[in-house]
Amino acid sequence: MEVRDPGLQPERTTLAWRRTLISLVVVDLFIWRSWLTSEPSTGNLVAGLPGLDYQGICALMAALATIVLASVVWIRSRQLHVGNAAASARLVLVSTLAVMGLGATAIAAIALGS
Amino acid sequence: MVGKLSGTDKTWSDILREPAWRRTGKTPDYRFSLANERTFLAWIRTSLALLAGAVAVDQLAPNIAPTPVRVVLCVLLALVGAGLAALSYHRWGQMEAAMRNDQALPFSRVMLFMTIVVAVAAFAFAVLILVAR
Repeated sequence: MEVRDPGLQPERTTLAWRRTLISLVVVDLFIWRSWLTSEPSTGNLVAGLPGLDYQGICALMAALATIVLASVVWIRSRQLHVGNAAASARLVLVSTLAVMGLGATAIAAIALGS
Repeated sequence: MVGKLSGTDKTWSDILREPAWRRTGKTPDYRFSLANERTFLAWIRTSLALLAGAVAVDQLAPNIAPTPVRVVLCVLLALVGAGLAALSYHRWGQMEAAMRNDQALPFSRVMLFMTIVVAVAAFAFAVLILVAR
């Protein structure tokens, strides 16, 4: 019997992407907690949307970063399911930018929280 | 999508196309490509751990230090985290370029730098925890 891939490389890579997404959700939880525990602000940035203050925008940005990385993980998992082609530079760059955006959001949340 | 970026003569489609080094040399064995990808992801997770640590200390330990000191420490930690994400992409590209052209993998001080950052952060927070009581 031929051993197709003794190292299970695509599977390990898929799992690494999923672990990364889970790590990102941990950061999200803290940013969302920062929004939920912040003093309710009276001035809304958008009329009729209570809670959408600057902390609320941070929470939305964190959600956006999660959606972007989740899409990348979904695309990459599908690619690795059918083959073992290398990742395109675009996918890697988009996931890097999502994490950097989350970093900026985290800094904003820390600065706003005090 | 083809608008010009301010200050450069590159367009968005240039940025999103595969970079030039991807067309040099020969495509590495998929095992090495995927290992490189996993190394990138491991660095990204390190960066996310720093971000989580920064926000968590700010949220869960408000009395660890006077507010300005705490905010500065946490922002510094988050900045290192965001910078590390950029560095991981850079290293991923460098590694694959070296593999494509049969060169030695580039040496880098990222590991030494990260060891020092984590050690200094751990020491600083240990001192703060002791002083805060």
